[in-house]
Amino acid sequence: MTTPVIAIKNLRTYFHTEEGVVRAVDDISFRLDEGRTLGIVGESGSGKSVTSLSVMKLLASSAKIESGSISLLGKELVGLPEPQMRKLRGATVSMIFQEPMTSLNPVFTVGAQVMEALRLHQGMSKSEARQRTIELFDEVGIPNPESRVDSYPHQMSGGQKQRVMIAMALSCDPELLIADEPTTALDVTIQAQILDILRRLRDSRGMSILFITHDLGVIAEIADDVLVMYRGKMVEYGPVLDIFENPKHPYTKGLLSCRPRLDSTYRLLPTVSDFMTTRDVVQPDGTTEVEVVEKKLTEADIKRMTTHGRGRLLHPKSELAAMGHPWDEARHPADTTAVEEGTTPLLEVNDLQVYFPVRRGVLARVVDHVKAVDGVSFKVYRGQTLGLVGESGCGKTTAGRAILRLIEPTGGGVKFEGQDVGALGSNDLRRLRRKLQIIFQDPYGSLNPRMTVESTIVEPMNVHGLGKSRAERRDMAAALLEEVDLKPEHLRRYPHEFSGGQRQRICIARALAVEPEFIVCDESVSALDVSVQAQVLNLLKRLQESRGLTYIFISHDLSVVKFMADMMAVMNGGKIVEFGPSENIYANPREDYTRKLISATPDDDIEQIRQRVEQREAMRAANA
Amino acid sequence: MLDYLIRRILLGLGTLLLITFVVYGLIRVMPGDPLLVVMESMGPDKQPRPEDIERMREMFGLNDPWYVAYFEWLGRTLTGDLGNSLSRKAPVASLIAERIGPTLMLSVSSLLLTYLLAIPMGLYATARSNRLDERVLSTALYMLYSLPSFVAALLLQMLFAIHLRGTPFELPLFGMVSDNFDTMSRGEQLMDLFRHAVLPVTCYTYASLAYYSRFVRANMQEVIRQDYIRTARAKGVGPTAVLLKHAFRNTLIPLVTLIGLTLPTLLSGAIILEQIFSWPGMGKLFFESIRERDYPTLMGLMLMFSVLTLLGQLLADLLYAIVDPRVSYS
Repeated sequence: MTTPVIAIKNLRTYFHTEEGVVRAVDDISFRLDEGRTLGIVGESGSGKSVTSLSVMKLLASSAKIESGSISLLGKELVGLPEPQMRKLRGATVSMIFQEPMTSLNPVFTVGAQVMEALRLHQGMSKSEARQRTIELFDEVGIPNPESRVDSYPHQMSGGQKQRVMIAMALSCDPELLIADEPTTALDVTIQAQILDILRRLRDSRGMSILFITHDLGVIAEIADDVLVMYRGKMVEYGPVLDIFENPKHPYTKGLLSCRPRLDSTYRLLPTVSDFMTTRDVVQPDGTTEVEVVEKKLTEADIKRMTTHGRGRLLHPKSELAAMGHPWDEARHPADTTAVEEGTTPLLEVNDLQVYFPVRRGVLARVVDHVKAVDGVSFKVYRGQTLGLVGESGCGKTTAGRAILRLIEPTGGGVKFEGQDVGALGSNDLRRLRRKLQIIFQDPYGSLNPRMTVESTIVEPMNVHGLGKSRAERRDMAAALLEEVDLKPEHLRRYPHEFSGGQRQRICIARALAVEPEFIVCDESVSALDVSVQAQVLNLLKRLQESRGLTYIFISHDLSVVKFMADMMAVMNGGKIVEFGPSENIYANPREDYTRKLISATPDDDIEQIRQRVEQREAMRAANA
Repeated sequence: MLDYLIRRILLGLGTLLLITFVVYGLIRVMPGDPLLVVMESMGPDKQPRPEDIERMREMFGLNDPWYVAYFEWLGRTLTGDLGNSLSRKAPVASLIAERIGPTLMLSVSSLLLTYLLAIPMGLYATARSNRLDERVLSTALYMLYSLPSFVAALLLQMLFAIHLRGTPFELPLFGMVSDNFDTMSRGEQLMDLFRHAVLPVTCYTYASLAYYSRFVRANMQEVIRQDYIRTARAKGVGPTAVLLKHAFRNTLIPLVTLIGLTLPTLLSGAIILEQIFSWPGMGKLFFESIRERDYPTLMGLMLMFSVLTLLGQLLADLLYAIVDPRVSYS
């Protein structure tokens, strides 16, 4: 048997905090052979990143490897002195990280940062290193590598920065690449490109990859083997096809089901909690262990999730026909309805334009415009969800904000309940804002860290004069928290005490505080783990039904938009390129751009995985 | 870039006009005027006759409303004439010129000393974060920082000029040069200047030393938590290079702001310290001209400080573009 590239036995990494010991990684064992890819999957806090940082020995000072063995090409890393470890880092084992935006040093050119590793480990001269960097940039698909080496990180897009990170990691031909959520911060289209590059380079170099992600869909695209982690423990480990075809642990089953798949008919997504319950058991040494109890999900339960909940609500039939998607009784599920003819839309957007001026000269005269939103028109009827989908920079977020006049539109009109929003004075606009709310992408940045949950939720009530007294407003806030599945006792806490998913629930409660009719959800689930994303999506659907809300749902992920939206608008370059019922757009995309978005969505269809596995095996056999 | 510079200079000139106008008004509403100050110092039997007072008021322009006087001052200043001091019978420009040297000698040497010491100390404190030696150093600096410099000045004077009198460590109590300076050789003159400067420079430096080194440390600690520092470590860069190359370059960005803010203080002098050590610098001139209500000298000094403040900010903004590639003015 050959030496594995990496073999981990009974690894335990604990955090020693003021509140006590946290078993971040608790008895993990796996091996990874040459040329293979192991996917480690789990939610935030499951210990998957701590596992990878244990291999790199880049742990925070409060974390310590308690016991176990990490063997890299037969060399034991636990207990290896730091100067020797440094020689391995970047040379034998290298790493790429989740956040390409912040992972590169802003004051050095990207070329210099790649050259540094080459000069450090391979003793290259400056000009050799530069030449090699240009070749590497070419290899990872950065256009014009000769000039791009001299760019600074801020001059590149997120996807390009991640390519630079890959070039840097691969510069010294490592045997092992650790990719820690390398595509999570990126659009699905860029994710597909990065996965492509990683697969290609892995196969051409015979390199091994430890791929860490919260998304099993990504795992299906790249991994040979899968290790599922939950609360620091390894709950399932095996070949990718086995895991997808025949998952054993309820957590794995939950993770597999909670992804909104393009071809699924779920109206509510199954979540991990549909498959299992947990119980914390305090151990004799004071730490807590979690006990998992499986829940049996019956066929009837699954059927309920595909049929329960509201059916699609489409535009009036005449408008459907006008947009080339005529009403077709046979194709729509029985409870799909169309808005009655002649109904006034809740929101009507007409030729909306948002131009950002480009200024030059002593007097800062406007010489040009960036057309972020360039003539967008659509209608949203009461109770509908309209999806806006497209890549970063397509103008979808700007359009969402211009509708609420958070950005002043350059031209065009927005009518809400027939009233021209653009013509409103500041007092009328404030009154209207009560009806129009927005939920942002980043649940960390959009809550004031110095405000308690109570003051966060009560503040909009104060602004709009809701509730008669403080006590009444507090009761209303408590009821809102219960509505978003949090607890009234959370009112007195601060945002940092909550997880990302909980914070997004607080943001939802804040938006609901003024009893709005219409909410713009701007990438509201993009920063969340898939398992948490499913819960929040279900919550939004439930609230829509109970409160009769109307949504504009903005996302780069077509599968999420398809799950949420009745009607879908595909945006590219500030314009809507395709508009129609979500199911039709998915089933019969007319534009290449839409097809590109659909094909970028990770494909975890069992047959696809089987094909990929067979291809990989044939390739290995041919190489052997 | 050139566009930006021109715009900034035009804006700066406008700001300058506004500052001098407001400052002139403020100076003139201070109670008292130059004549009253002089008369207070004279005995009751030597008071000038009312008609002489009136003549002098007229001569000094004290009878005009302050805004009229301001525009007279402005007109003169635009021709390059800062006017004559009321109390010192000399042109303001030459008064300032003779004080610049001594002040720069103190401020530049202490600024250089501060940077030379504070940056390594801040880096050291980051590298040894939370170890015993770092904690001792930081605590000591903090204690020094909380000790007002005029108290320290007095303590140092007591130690070096009185307790150590007669030893080789004795240092002069005040002044910039000894009385017999003119009779000394070139080398002795330098040594004399140096011995006089040691105490004021020490006092001048130590307070900013604590501030600057803590500033460097605080910024470094912010920077070393960033993702790109982890990236550097992940490619095998050693701890020294991580600190000096990857982290420190990023700390330069806030340091540049500080340099911009420092420029005016280089010439404004340290009012209290120059008083304590009788150092014939700008701070002393400033203090005395306030006391004497010497309007032309005060305005000359204020004009200089304002120009330096604006220049300092411009310099800081231009340096930004050099140390931070994300900033550009084109």
